[in-house]
Amino acid sequence: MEGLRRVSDGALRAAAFLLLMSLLGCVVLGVASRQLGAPVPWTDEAAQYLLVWTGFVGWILAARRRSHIRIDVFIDALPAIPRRAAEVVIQLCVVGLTAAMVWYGPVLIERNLDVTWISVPLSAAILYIPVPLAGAAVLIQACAQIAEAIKGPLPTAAVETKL
Amino acid sequence: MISTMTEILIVWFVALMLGVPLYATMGLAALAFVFFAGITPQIVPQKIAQAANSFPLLAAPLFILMGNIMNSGGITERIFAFATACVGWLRGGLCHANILASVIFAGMSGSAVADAGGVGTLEIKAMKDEGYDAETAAAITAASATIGPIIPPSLPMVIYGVSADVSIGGLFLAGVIPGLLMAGAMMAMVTWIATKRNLPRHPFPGLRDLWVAYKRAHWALMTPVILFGGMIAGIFTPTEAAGVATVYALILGLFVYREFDFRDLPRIAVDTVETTGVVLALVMTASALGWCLSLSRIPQTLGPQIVDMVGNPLIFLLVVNVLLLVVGCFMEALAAMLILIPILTPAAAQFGIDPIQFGLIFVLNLMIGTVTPPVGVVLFVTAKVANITFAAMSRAIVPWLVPLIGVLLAVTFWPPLTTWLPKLVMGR
Repeated sequence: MEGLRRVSDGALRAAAFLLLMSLLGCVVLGVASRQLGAPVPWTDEAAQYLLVWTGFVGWILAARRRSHIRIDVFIDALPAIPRRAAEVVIQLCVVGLTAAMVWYGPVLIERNLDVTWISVPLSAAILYIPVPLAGAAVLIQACAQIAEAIKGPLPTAAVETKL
Repeated sequence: MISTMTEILIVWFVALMLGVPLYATMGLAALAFVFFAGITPQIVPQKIAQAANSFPLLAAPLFILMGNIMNSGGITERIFAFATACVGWLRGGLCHANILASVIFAGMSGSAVADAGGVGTLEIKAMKDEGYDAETAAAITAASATIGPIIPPSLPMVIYGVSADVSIGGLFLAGVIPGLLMAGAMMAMVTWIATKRNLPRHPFPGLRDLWVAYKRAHWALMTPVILFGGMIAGIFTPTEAAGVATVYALILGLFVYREFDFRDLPRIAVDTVETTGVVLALVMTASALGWCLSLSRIPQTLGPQIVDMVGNPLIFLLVVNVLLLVVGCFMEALAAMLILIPILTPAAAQFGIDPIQFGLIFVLNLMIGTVTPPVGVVLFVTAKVANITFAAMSRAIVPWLVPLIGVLLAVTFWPPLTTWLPKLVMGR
C-alpha cells in the first residue's frame, strides 16, 4: 500500500512538472512565433487545454497535501469524538462531488469525441478526460481520510492560502 | 428557482462553516441546484472543466511560478540590498527599505504571501539583527506585503478579472497608483514613528555603492520593465507577459545569478501546480455555482433590491467596504471574492460604478483582510517568520491598518485614482 502511494505520488509530481512546463512552453511559443512573423495557430488553444489538466492535477495534489481551503475555526473547537464525526461528514461531502465527477465524466468524454479543436484536428474530449480521473483520485483520498478520521490520529487540515 | 437556490445556499453556508472544503461546498451546491431544477447533472462537471479552459486564467499558474522562482533564485536578496542602499540612510531606514523592496517585488510577483514569505524573510531578519523589535519588523513586513497584489502583476486581479469579466490589463494599470499611494502612506507613517522613537539609520552609502547595489540588482529590476513595457506597448497580453517574465526569471536564476539549478525546478513546479490546484478548484466550482446562481436569477433580483435599499453609489461603496473588510477578517481572500462577485458586481453596475474601480476596491479590501485577525494569512506567515505569537502579531499590525484604510477610502471616494491610468493607456 505504501509502495503504491509512493508510485502514484511520484507519477503525480511528474505529471505536474511536465504539464506546467508544457503550458509555459506553449504560451512563450505563441508570443515568440507571433513576434517572428510566423504565428503558430495552436498555442493558445493547447495552453488552455493544458491549464485544465494542470488545474485538475493541482486539485489532486492539494487534496493529497490537504491544502484545499476550508474553515477550521469551528470544527477545531470540537472535542475529539464529534471532531472525528464531523471530519467523516466533511469527507463524505467531498465523496459526493467527486463521485459525480467520476460518474458524469465519461459521459462528457463520449459526447465530445466528435467535436474537434478549432486549431488542430484533435478531439475536444481531451478537455474532459481529467474530470473522472481527478474525481477518482480525490475520492480515494477522501475515503482514506474517512478511515483516518475513524481510526487514526485526530484529523488535521493544513490550511494554507496562496494569495 | 429563487427559493430553491436560497434554501441550497443556507445548507451551503452550514457546510462551509462545518469545515467542508470550499470547492466541495460550491460544487455540491451546484449539483443540488441542477437536481432540484430538473437540469441534467452532467452540466456541473462540464462547467467545472470549462471554467479552466480560459486564456486569461493561464496567467494564474504563470504568475505563481514566477513568484516561486523569484524567491528561489537569489533575486529577492538583491532587491532588498538595492532598496536598503536607496533608502536605508533615512531614519528608520530598514523600515523604509522593507516597504520599497515590497514595492519592487510587487512589480514581479502577484501574491502577498509570496512577498511576506520571500523578501519578508530577509527583511525581518535584517531588521531584527539591527535591533528592531520583532513585532515592528513583522508588522511592517505584513502591511507592505499587501502592496504585492495591488501593484501589477496580481493573482487576485487575474481571478477577479476572469470571474467578473473585467479587463485584466485594465485592473493591472488601475493598481499602480493605489499601490504607490499605499507605499507612500506607509513610508510617511514610518517617518513619523522613526522620529518619535529615534529609530536607527544607515550612513548614506555614496553614489558609488548605490550604483554597485543597482548593478547587482539590475537584471532583476528589469522584470517589471519587461512585464509592463510589453503589455503597454501591446507586444503581449497579461497572460503572455506572465509567460515571458517567468522564462526571464528562470534564465536569471539559472544562468545569470546561478543561485538555483535545474534540480530545484521540479520542486518549484510541483509547488506551483499545487497552489494552482487550490486556486483553480475554487474558480472552477465557483463558476459552476455562478452559472446556477444566474439561472436562479438571484443576482438579477438582489441587484435592484440593493440599489433601492442603499440609494446612493457612495453609500453603496462604503457598505461594500465595510462588508468586505468584515468578511476579509473571517474568510480567505480568494474565497470571499468568488462568493461575493456574483452578488455585488450587478449592483455596482446598476449604480454606474466603473467596473475597474470596483474591482480594485474589491481586491484592496480583501488584501487588507489578509492582515487582519482572526483569519489573516499574511499575519500567519509573518508571525511564523518573525517567530512571534499570532496574538502579538495581531496587536502589532493595528497601527499599520491606518494608512491602508486611508488609501482604501481615497480609492473609494476619488475614482480617477484607479480609472485615470487605464483610460490614459488603453483609451477606455
